[in-house]
Amino acid sequence: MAETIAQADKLLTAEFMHQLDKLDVMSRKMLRGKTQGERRSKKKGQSVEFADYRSYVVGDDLRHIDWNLYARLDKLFLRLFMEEEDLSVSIVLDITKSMDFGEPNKLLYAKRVAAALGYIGLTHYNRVNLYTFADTITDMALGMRGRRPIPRMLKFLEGQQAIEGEHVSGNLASVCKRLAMIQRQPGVIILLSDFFDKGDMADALRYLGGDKHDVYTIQLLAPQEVDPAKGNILGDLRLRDIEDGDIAEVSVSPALLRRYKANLQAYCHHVREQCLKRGVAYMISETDVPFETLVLKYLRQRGLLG
Amino acid sequence: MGFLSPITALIAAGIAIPLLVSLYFLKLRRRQVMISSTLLWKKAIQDMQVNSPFQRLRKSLLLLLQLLILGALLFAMARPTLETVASPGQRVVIVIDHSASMNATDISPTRLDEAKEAAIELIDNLNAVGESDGSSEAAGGAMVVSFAQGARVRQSLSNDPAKLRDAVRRIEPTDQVSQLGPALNLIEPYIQAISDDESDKLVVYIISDGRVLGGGQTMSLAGAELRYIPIGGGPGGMAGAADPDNLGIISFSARRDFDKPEIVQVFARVANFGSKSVSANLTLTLDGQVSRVQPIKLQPAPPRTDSATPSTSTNHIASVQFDFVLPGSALVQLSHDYDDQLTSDNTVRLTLAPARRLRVLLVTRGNTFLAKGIQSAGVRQLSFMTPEKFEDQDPVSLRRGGWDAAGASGLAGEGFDVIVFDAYSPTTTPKVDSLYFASAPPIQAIKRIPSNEDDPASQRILTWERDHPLLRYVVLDDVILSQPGRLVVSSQATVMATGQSGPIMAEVVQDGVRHVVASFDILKSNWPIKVSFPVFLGNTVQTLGLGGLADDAGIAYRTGEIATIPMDTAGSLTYTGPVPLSVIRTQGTAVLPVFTRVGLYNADKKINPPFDRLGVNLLAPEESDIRTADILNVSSVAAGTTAKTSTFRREVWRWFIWAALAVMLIEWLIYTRRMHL
Repeated sequence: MAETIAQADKLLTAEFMHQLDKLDVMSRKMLRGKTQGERRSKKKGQSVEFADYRSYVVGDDLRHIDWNLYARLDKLFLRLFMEEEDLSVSIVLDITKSMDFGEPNKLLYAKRVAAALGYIGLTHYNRVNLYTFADTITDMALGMRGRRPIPRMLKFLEGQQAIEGEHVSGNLASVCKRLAMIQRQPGVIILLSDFFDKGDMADALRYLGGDKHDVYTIQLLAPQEVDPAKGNILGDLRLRDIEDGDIAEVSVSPALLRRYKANLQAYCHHVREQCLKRGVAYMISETDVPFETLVLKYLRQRGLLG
Repeated sequence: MGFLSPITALIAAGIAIPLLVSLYFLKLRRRQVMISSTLLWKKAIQDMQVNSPFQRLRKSLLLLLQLLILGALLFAMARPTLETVASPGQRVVIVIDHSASMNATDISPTRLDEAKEAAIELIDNLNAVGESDGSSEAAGGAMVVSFAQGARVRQSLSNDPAKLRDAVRRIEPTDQVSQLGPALNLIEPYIQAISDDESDKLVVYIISDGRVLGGGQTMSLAGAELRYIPIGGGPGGMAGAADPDNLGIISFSARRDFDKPEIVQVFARVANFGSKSVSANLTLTLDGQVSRVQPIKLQPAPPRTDSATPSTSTNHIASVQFDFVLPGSALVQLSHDYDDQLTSDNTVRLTLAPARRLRVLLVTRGNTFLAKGIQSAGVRQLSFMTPEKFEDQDPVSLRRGGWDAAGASGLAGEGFDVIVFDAYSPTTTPKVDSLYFASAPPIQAIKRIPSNEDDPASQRILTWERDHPLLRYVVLDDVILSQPGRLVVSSQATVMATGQSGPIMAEVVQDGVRHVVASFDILKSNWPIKVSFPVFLGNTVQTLGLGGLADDAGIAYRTGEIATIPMDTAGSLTYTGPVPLSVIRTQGTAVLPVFTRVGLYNADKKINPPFDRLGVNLLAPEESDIRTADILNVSSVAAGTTAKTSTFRREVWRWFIWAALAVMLIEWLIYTRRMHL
């Protein structure tokens, strides 16, 4: 946690921000924006790009009548142009205590990824919303657009700490339900979490599925979680859950370690299956992968950035 | 296996085992570690079902090992016993055969090692007898004797098992034949002493393969119980031993042609003592150069029979002969290439002496019969001297100047091999082997007393030593002597023939020189006209002149023999070979210690051939036949393997204590490994 604070001011370096300027958040769907932006919309509108003709009806703006066509055909036709709108990018960050674990720390890693994605969204005049959650949504920064709110966004992220408390454990289902209610504007939702949730994953994703949103999930795991031997998990141990204080007594043997790894793999597979079933894009990353590599390489490969 | 106190152990088991298991449940003190989520661990634990107590026990190797340790300790507490064969009497003599056949490898590594193991096991059992009685004194002790050609007490009667084991381990292999007689003679006084001392019966264990010279004959050993522990494979052998398989060279000799001494004939006999047909190649080498290779094929050996009805089958024996021309000295070696279980009889060697013929001096005033007789004995040169001329000679110059290495044709050198005195006694003793008729050398050991006037005019020879080398094929019962006189001999002399008034022929060796003395004058007898006369002269001249080479053209020894080496120079002499031999020269000859191992022994200094290289061979069919005998005839009863034995319960709780310690070590290793995985 100390590391989280100490390195908070280094969530993004100037050099890295320069590299991010070339990227934009991509959506797999054509979503409706709220205000005019840089992204093509389903609506016809005010841009310079010609789209179609239609017959004139009473009440139409006379400025859009194609007078040349009227001269030739003696009929009134209206010229239609493409509309460009902004994109809503919602970054949802898990700040349960389970995220404040591992070396490199998962929460710090997640905050960096969130900062990078938020920065990209803001530089392209997208509407960026930030949410943090533990057992429910704990904090949010909404409606940021353009370069101006970048410091605000970074400050918001830097200020996020893992939620202390014995019984504050993640409840993804209630979080997703609440998010669906708050985030009515269609857009891209990026969910950053370790997904160590004891509830039902399918139930949670149900609220975010559908055509309204384009949802990406990024599962973050610490190297110590992937291979417990790296975390000195050996011998006869009393394992205590950092979130809910749950106890598991184990005598770690090679067979048990094998079983744990198989379970982890099966669990990640389960999360991925549930995501794909709901049309949610799924990515997994270990925190020992440099986050620059994740942003510049893997997220581009998966189509979130372009 | 039985137990002396099973109830105690059962009670202890009833307390200790549940205690250990319950302690195992209680013992874990777990280290607390914070993790991000127990979600996956709980699932893993569920999968492994570790939380179930009995499942946990099933998977716990450490608990299993601890139970093993406890089990071993409880077993030890029950005082387990094993039934072992031990002596009912208190005193034991362990007689171990370390002859050539005990080097057979049908038991790995050798029979001798197996015999030593058996002896050590006996000693351990004896020790246990002492313990069971509550005092180490009660064991009475054991004695260790080894035997091959001779016998030796390795450890006299002792109660100390360490000493006894050490004595057994120190028994070294030999290539000698084995004779049980000397061993039994050696232990007989001990038996007498013990039977006088106490009423205990002495038990003699003979650990051998039964390939013993005279094994078929009964040898007596009163007052002791004999038991034979057979070692090795074969019909009477141990279970699990390999079938004996040996191809051995059982005789080997070389002769030079009588008329053409440069022609050498080498004879050998090879025998198969295995149970299957054998094909092999015999290789004859001369000074290391291969001279001849001869393939042989031999049938399996017939089953062994008692010595009373020896087998007449000879299909398993092949006789081979090699002829070649070699006037000089050479090392002749014969070997076969068959891979068998006894190596000491696979190669034989002898040192061929240079061809030579004899120079004989006859000191006489005229004796045609004698001159003709000597000439017929195959001498190269016969010189004559009158007694007066002989007296003028320098005694040193009469001696022939050693062996001539150049060969038959170059017989240079002064002096003679043999001097024959006819009716003349020299004033000084010649340094040459001599034959005396009606005369005697001027030495103390032998004197000639002339016949008295009143003795019978003619006498016959009453007895003569038919086995004496000089009297081989000599028949003297038709010889009539006139006034033969008689000999007065000391104990050093060997009487060869006895007449009516006393010894008339004798042999004496003094200062390395042999003197053969006949008290009668041959001109006053009818012997010269009998066939036996030239035969006797031939034997005598050849034997005196050539020594051991009279029959054999080469020098070779068998293990167990002693070599006498003629030396001109003073000082010590060392032979290097399988066993280094050294001796300090005494009076012109050096007597080497008994040969124990076969092989070639090379002298460290220049010595006249053939004594520069001494070949030592086994050449003993009894030893080459490595099939273990199932019975040893000793005393009036056969010492068979079925001899009555009594059993004894030997405590083995120590084994379990050791096992518990070993398992404890393993447990500790596993524990530390798990903690520092």
